[in-house]
Amino acid sequence: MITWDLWKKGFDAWEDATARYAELWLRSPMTLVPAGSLFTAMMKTKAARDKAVASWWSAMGVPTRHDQERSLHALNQIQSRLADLEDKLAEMHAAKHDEAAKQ
Amino acid sequence: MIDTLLELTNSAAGAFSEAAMHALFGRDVRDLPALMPSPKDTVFTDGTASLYRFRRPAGAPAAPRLPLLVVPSMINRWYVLDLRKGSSFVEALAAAGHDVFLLDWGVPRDEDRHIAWDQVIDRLDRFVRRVRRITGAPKVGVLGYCMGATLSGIYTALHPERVAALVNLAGPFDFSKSGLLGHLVQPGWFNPEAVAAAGNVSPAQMQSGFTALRPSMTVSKLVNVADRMKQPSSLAGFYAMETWGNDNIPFPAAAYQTYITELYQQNLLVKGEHRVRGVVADLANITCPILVIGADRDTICPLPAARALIERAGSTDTQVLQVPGGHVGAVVGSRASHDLYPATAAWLRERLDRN
Repeated sequence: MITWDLWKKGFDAWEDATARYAELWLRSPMTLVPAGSLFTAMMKTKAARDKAVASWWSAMGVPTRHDQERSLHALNQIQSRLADLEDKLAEMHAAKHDEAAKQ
Repeated sequence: MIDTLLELTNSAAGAFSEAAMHALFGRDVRDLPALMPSPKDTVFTDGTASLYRFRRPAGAPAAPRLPLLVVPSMINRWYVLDLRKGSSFVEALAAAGHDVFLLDWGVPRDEDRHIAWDQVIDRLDRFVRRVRRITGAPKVGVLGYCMGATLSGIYTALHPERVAALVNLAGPFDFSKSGLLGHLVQPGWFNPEAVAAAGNVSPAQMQSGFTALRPSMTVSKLVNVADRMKQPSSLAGFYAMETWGNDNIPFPAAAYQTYITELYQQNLLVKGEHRVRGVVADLANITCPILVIGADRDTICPLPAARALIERAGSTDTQVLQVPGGHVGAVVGSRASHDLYPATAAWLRERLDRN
């Protein structure tokens, strides 16, 4: 038990020192600038590849994944707007009911 | 390619954790307590989002006059707030008599890459309206956690007449004080537009950002659980946290771009320049009582980043509660049920009964 406790104390000290050292590196623009550039290049490559694939399908006259996503998003928005309208109708109905009750 | 690499790394880390748990404890994870234990009903859905209403346990005190809407983060799954019996914020609130509703943002699908920031706030508004409609209450109490608290603050600034009390549970408002995470996404090296152009931000990408905050954490948490293996509850807690921590979800691309650019990079919210559908979300419009809860070892939302809400709001009834722990540990740790949950429930009861 004492051996474990000692080892644990040593581990905690190592972990804390490692975390501090890693944070120093992570905060440094020397790390962040190249890492960020690489990450941005990867994201741009992915976007360009998706666009190229979509253009190919589009040239074949087939709706692309992007088209489908846009259509589904539009449908979701219509569903949300219907919920908004339903709420407005309920509010109007409640107001009318209150007014009738007062009279 | 980056997604595949990140997913492989995360899967390997997950498999390692599970194997280590078997080796350390020799127990089947299926024997452990269930996640999301609190009984609830789904009362409304909007796209992938759902509104839950939690059932109050028998013998709970009478509910306050106004209901409570809990708004979790969009970055992780909601059930960190209902992790397991005894480590559940919503369970404690329901047991204290509150009529608790919760907005589950759901798991965004590919088409949700087009969900804009304004539409996220619209959705929150829709859910607040639905809670009012179901309960007949003129106002609701709102408790936001992490990014959910930021969204709740923006919403309250836009619709102050609908919110009776606001609890900011570790949600950043002044992003210039958001620590290492804020530093990692600064415009000098991070391009949110490029990330969003590639579609929804994948769970692996989000996870790698949090892992970067403390890379030695994966090994550290295994050692810590081994250290506490004599306590039966620690294994259940570790398993629950690992399950939740690895159950990440994508983030809608368009909303992500606005979130990072306007809040993390430009810090527009505390400058009073953040707009939703063209209307400025001025935090000074918030006049309802505010409780800010910060954790003393929170590296994702340090207390000054959360406290900025009180400094900018127009409220006179404000309080800051500092609890021990990190961003997640403070909410689900063993001490939460003794200090955080009862203090929050009591603060809310007083305000939701008074209004």
